[in-house]
Amino acid sequence: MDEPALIHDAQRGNLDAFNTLVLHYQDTVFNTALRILGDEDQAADAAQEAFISAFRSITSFRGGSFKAWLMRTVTNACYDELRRKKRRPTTPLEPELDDGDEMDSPRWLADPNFTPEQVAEADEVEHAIQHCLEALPVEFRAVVVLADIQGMDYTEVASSVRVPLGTIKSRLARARLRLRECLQGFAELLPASYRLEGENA
Amino acid sequence: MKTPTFRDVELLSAYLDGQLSQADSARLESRLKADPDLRAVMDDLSQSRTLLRKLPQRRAPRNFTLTPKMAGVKAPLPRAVPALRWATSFATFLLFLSMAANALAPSFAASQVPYGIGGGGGGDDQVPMMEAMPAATEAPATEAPAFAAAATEAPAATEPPVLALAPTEVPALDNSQSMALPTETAPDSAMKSSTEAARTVGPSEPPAPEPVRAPVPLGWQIALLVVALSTGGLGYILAELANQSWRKKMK
Repeated sequence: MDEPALIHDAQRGNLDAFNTLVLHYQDTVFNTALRILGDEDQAADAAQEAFISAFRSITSFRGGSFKAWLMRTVTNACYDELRRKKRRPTTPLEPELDDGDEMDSPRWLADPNFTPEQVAEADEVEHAIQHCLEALPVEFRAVVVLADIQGMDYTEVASSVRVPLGTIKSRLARARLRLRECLQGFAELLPASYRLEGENA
Repeated sequence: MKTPTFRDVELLSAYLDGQLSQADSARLESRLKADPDLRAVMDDLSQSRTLLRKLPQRRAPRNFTLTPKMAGVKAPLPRAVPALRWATSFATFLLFLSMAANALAPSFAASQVPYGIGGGGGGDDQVPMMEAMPAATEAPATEAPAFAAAATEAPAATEPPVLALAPTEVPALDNSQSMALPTETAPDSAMKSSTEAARTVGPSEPPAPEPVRAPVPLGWQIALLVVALSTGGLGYILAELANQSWRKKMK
């Protein structure tokens, strides 16, 4: 795929060229939205919105990492989706685990009052991680998703979420720490290899 | 040995991502060897990072490719289309304007007659009263036939006595007003209006009522309709042809 040529053509209004880029990036875009939003339907909507928005504003792309630029539209679409979803003006005292509506509450840690049913629901590592991701404030969630799930470097993440590099480092460190604390609530669900002490990167 | 600070956590997180300089990395590594608490934090961060990186990548549930409609892309239109659309709108506007003018013309013509008769019926408007009222009071004998004659033009002119009475009643109501006003020109205008009225009465034959003519002839309206329809139709056909050829090109 000749990405620069496709971007150039898309900037001239060539929809076919843009759709080739869409096919190349759609899994990445969808996964990013899924990890930020935690809901497949909403993630699909956000991904579609992100591509529409990207095509309309593609002339504003001035080079650099196209993936980072695209991720910016995705995170913006996710923020819009979360704003739409948020009906209540105040943050509830308890997260609503059933519908996941208010998962970005200020509560950082895994809820120690998990009922056995709720723990049983999170019977897969993926669900546990997703639950802990959703317990993070959305700004931290976006950073950790882009850096650790999409494997983007700090500069790309900074460009995607439009915050300084220092803030990215700080958010990432805090998010990883909090995720670890949250995941301890699911320790028995985690594969043994993940529980080994002293694992290196 | 001390409890790791958040600064330490930041350093460790950046170290895991290879974001520290060589010197900082070496310093941190030596601290890690000596400090089990720091190592424990490092392990925690590393495990989070590993878990996240091992999350399965989901495939998109469908293709997110954009259709021209979603992208808001429109076929480039021939240059004539906007001009044709403008012509259609303008012709339609003129057509409606002519229809409105034709519809309003009879009532406009009719409304001019009572204004000419009375002036006195105007109520608050003082200027016509100043002219008409003295005429009614000073020369009632000439006024009455004048009104009767003028009223033959109006549709409601079959009852001259009523019309003849009207001016005599109105001055009675407004006499004080007209007296209070310093109206030096009033007698002159009264004379003028009464003589004019007399002149109209002069001919013994009553004027034949003229049918009110439409200001815009039907021929013009038909022409406007034809222009609106033809330009509209032509514009639509050209736009559709351009759309079809563009859709073929997009495939």
